[in-house]
Amino acid sequence: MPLGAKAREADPSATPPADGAQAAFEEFDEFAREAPARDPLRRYNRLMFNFNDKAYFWVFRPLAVGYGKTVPEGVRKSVQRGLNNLEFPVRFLNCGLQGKFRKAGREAGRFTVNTTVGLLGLFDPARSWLHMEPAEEDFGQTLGRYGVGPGWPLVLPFLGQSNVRDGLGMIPDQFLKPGAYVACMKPVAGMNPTELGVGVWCYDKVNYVSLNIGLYESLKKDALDPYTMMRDAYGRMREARIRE
Amino acid sequence: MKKAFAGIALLLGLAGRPARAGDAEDAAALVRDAVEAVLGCLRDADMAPEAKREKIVGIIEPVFDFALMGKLALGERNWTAMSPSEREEFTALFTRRLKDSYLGKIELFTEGEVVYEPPRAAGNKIHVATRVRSKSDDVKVVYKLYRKGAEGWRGYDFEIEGVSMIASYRSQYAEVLSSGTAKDLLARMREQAGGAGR
Repeated sequence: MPLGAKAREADPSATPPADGAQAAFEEFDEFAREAPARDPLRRYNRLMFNFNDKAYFWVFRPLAVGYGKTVPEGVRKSVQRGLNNLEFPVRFLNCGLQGKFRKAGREAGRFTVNTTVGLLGLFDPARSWLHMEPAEEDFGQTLGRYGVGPGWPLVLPFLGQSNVRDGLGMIPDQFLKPGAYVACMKPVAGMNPTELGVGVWCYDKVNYVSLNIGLYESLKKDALDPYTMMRDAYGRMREARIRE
Repeated sequence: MKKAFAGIALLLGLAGRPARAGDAEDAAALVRDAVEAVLGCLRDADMAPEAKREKIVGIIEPVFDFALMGKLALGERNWTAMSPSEREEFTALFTRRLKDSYLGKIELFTEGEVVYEPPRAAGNKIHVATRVRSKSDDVKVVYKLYRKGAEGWRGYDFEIEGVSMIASYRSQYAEVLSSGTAKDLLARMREQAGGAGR
């Protein structure tokens, strides 16, 4: 931006009254830059969005409400922390792949402290005592960091809003998650390991929903068109995370 | 570096008013006071839910410039295309939408522990980043403020996990207006507000 434009923008007295003309828009041009979203899979995506919406309201939400009534909140929070702790390899590896070695070191520190002092990750002393915040990194962000664009928006069954890049990125990440460890085990007590892996995933999801009842409902209520809103919000959230 | 830049701008007589060191602090204090007041209100177990909502709206009303936010969410082209009476109705519906949306979200965060990061200047705007601890994770909320003349700092947008509220509404409104008229948009918004819409 040329110097003159920058300085003019910096003039607070230029702020017009409430019904003023273009000046207000010029000062807030940060919102004008965005190109409209390209969404060639729109029809499929909407269908899948509605499917996931029904899955939430008919299956996951009722399960989570019932589960939340039986299991105290403290336990549910611990379960989430425990499962999240087991996903440490995903965050660690992707920090490393992005050259974020300090963050990777912090993740390793968190895992060590929380697995031991935090009783297998059921508690998070690394954060509450040592102020070591988790680094939310995944392979989709790693790809984005190396210049891979998001590709078309894509809604995945049960997993929700994504895009081509992040959807593909989930594949390597899944191999580093608890569900995959379980699925690779030898059959235990006649249980199919794959089914058990899916079971772990479902349990994680129900547990998460039980701690966030009302969030999806509230987001959906905000939207004129819930699908478009979720699609765009997802894209922006991911871009913000990649920039971090 | 920033100082040198401001100095040059000032010498050239281009800058109307250089940013003061206290500006960021003023803006941050505005956000912090409002957030803490809202949290205090949420924690008050004796207050009826309706009274609570009313009180919270009273707290956030002077913090945000709702009229400006509505204009920004619509965008220049769509705003100028509207008639004065349409603009008026749009602003009323948008303000109501935003308040409802804020109340709906804030009620999910009754645990309400908020950590404030140091305010950051972005051009002549100030961004105040906060971390809200919900039941299951941390949510990053950034309040974006501008100087509204003598009235001091006012919020014109907030971001939740990098998602700007204005940008989010903007693309939704643009989508409706790309295939319909301002009347269609207002009808959709009225419907969303549930009935009469005022």
